[in-house]
Amino acid sequence: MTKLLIVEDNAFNRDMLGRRLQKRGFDLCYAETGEAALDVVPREMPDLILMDIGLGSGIDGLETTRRLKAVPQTAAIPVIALTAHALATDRERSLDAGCVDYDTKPVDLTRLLAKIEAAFKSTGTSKA
Amino acid sequence: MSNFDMQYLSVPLTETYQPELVLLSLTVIFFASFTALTLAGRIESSSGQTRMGWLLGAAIALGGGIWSMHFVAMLAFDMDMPVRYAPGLTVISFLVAIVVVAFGLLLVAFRPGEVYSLPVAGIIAGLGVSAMHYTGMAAMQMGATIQWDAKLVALSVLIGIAASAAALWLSFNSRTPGAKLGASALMTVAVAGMHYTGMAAASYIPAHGALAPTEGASSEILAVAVASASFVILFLALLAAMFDQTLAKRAQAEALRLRNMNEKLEGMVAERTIELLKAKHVAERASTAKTDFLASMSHELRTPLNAVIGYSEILMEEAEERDDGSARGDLEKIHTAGKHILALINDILDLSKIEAGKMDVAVERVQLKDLIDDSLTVCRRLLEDNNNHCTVEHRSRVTHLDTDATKLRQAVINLLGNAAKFTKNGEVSIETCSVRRDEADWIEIAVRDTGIGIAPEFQADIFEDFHRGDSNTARHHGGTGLGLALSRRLVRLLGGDITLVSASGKGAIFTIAVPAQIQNAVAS
Repeated sequence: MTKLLIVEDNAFNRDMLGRRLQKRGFDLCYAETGEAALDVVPREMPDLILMDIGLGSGIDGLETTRRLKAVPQTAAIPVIALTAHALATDRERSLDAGCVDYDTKPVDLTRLLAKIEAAFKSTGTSKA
Repeated sequence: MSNFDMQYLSVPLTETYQPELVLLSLTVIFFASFTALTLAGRIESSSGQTRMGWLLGAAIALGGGIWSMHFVAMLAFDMDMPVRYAPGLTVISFLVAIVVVAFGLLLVAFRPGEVYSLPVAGIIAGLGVSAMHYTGMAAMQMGATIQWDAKLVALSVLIGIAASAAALWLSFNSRTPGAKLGASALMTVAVAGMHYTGMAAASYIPAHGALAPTEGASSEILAVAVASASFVILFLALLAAMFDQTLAKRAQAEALRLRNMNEKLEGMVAERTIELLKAKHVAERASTAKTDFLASMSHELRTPLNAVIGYSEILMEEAEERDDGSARGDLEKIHTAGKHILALINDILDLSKIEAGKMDVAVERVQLKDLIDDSLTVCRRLLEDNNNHCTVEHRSRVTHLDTDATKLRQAVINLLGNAAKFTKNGEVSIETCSVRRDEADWIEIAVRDTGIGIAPEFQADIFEDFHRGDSNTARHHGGTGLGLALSRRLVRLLGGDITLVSASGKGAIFTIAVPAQIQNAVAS
């Protein structure tokens, strides 16, 4: 089963997105902060990470992504940035940090699923 | 014949002048001339009765002055014989002087443009002075007859005419105080010159057996008359001077008022400029603050909105699984409302960014066909919901654009979305074509529908913020009312524009025209 990691500080969003993705057959794991994500990823080794950029405390999603990309073990895991910011610069900053794609919240599930699929295709890491 | 008689018969009488009285006569005429010219100066700038008043005043001043001058000069004249003056002729001589001067002034002042008026006025004034003089002479009653030297008489008249003309010319051609003094001097020369030349023309031969005159006004009465005339002149002069002073004061006050007002205005302008600069600064800061506020607001609003939309979607899915139609309907309403708020937030954020000049244009190469296909994909659902048939026709010979594809796509999506929303069971078509304009390639993307159309009265405002044709349309079809405003701003940001062709009930064609290469357009 394809395993997704959701890095999201907001409990509502985490729960909601998780439930909907679970329904569609994904295996889910969660991290509330960037630091937690750095701890969880090597342990769980998800197939893809949905990374919230604006995390409440500690390092933000971009920094978390950069650190994951800097470690060979986790560098190949595709990261899709999710942000409530709708500024064009967020997209560039996300891609610069090593994200494979970018999406804005609220999540349009159909669109997000398409992006997840595309991410697997482009990186060839899909187990699905 | 006695010795006394012989003396009277053979020798003209000795004529002498009292110098101080001669000087007085000159002073009188100079003063009168100055007064008359001052008064005459007012004729031009006044009208109606006032004008006639000034003219009459000038005539009385000059005429009276001439008359006074004459008789003061006669008092200065001394011969060994008592002289009296016939009252009738004396008065006539006074009137003659005034009337003739008035006539001369009338001619010059009221017909200033005519060439002949000045010489004619000069002749009239000169003749007037002469007429007065010789009338005055005729008023003399004494035991002697006067013999005239014709040449000197003619000379006296000529002097009167020439000097009068010169004086009139000067007074009407220059308004400076110097010119007025000069004109007064010339007038003095005219009158006094005429008088004393005229006097020189006369020789007084004692009449045989003539008696000293007993009738007529004596020198004393004459003196009173002269004093009275001088008093009138003085009064007129005083009047003119007072008027001058009032005028000068008024002019000075007006000048002061204007200067004060000017200074005040300058002060106000400077003050206002500073205020405006301050206001501009405040406004600019406020604008930046507004954009920052909107950016953070949009973030803060999106997070809870995310939950509202997401959970309503989950519940909708679950309701569907349970086949619970009523719950699904209500959840759909929550979902739609949430989406609407989201659209509003997005549009407002975009608009404010454009207005704050914070919308960057990121140029990338994009295939026109891909851009249209992407837009259609986004709108596919909306088009199908209203059972619209959709066609695409690419006629553009230019296949790709170098522009901000995201912004252009957003504009196309907005137009397509509108077409889909306002058309039911109809046709929505997209046509692309390319045109040469100002030596550059332009792409035109026309979105055509067979929907409700836009009445002419709404077309002008349709691109304004929060404008949605008539309010019924707005209620019925929803939307933020910002889509077209935003689309036009986006397209203008790319150097192009959006135009509209429509009629009520006959569908609409919105056409986006943008330069294919954004740099070229910006450079030109």
